[in-house]
Amino acid sequence: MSKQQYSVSKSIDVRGVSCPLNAVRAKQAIAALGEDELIEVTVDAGESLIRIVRSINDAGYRIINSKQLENAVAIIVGKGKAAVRQ
Amino acid sequence: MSDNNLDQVALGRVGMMRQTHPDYYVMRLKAVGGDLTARQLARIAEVAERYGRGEVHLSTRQGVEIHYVHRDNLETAKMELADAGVEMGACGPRVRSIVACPGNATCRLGVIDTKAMSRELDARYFRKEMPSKFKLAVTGCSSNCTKANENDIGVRGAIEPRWEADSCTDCGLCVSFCPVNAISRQDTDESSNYVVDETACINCTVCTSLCPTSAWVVGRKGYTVLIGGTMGRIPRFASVLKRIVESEQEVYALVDAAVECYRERGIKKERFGHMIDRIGLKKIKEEIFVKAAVQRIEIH
Repeated sequence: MSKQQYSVSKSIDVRGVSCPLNAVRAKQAIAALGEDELIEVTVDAGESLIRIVRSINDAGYRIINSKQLENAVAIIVGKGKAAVRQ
Repeated sequence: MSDNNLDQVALGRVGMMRQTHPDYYVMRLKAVGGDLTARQLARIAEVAERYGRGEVHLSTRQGVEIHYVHRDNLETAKMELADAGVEMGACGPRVRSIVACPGNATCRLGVIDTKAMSRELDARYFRKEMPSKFKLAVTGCSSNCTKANENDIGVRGAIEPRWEADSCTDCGLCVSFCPVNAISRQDTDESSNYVVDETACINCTVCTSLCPTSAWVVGRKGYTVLIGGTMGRIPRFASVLKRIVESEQEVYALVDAAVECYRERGIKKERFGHMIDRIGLKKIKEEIFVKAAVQRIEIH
């Protein structure tokens, strides 16, 4: 359970964007990442978070960390070797 | 022959109800768990056109009703429906059609086989005489699409999550996505542990299905059995009889015991939930558990 060192190069904020558009925008941004890049996706807490996480998992991307904000959550996502755990 | 010469109680038993229009009846059809085949639907359409007004009403219990059927046509219409395997529903103080969501047969969130269970409950209890109307529902998970807690007896698919440290990467996401904030991170000097508050957990599958590294796994899986729910004039949310029942046989033993308890103790026209409030939930639960235990001993 050791924390992995990582650096985030991009971010997208989909707070206030309704489902399913928030997940669509997040996935578009993740798809545009390079193999060694990570993105921070900020999403409203609650049902939006659940839907986005399900959508990201289903697409085969990896969530490697998260941070609770006020009524929102920032999740760190990658798609290539940057998101592979040690 | 006037309507007064017809046995309205006998008609109600098989789902036929007098309308406001003299000589016209509603034919309430049964669809266990809301399931009908395309062929059955086609026959219902034919019967509705031939004997009704060419329209149907979809009931709140996932059934179909054909309205405006003249009393002289009731028997013929019933036989034509039966020929396609469409059975009549039930009205009055008895067990009504069992409702269910699609469950794990097709739903990604479904924990249990709701279709098999609703068919079994139908075979066991449908039309059984009770002190008042009696409704059963089966719902696949905590999303509760079939509204198990609005029914006299509800069965809901349930899981108990377990955290596996070896798979966890400490991303903390579960703390955020748990819908009832039942998961927390507890740090010790050596490590971080994730724990679930069992009194707050609603036994849904959000953590076990969403954890990116599958560190939340299904510990126990089963059925939550709820009793005494009703809407109607005096609504009452169901009470939990047992939170996790692991075997299907135990579910049936508990339902049998609850049905028996209500038949013994219920006053005419008093719903199960209101009986529970009159006598006391704790006492009724004890009675049901004792009856179910005796029954299980007799089976084995």
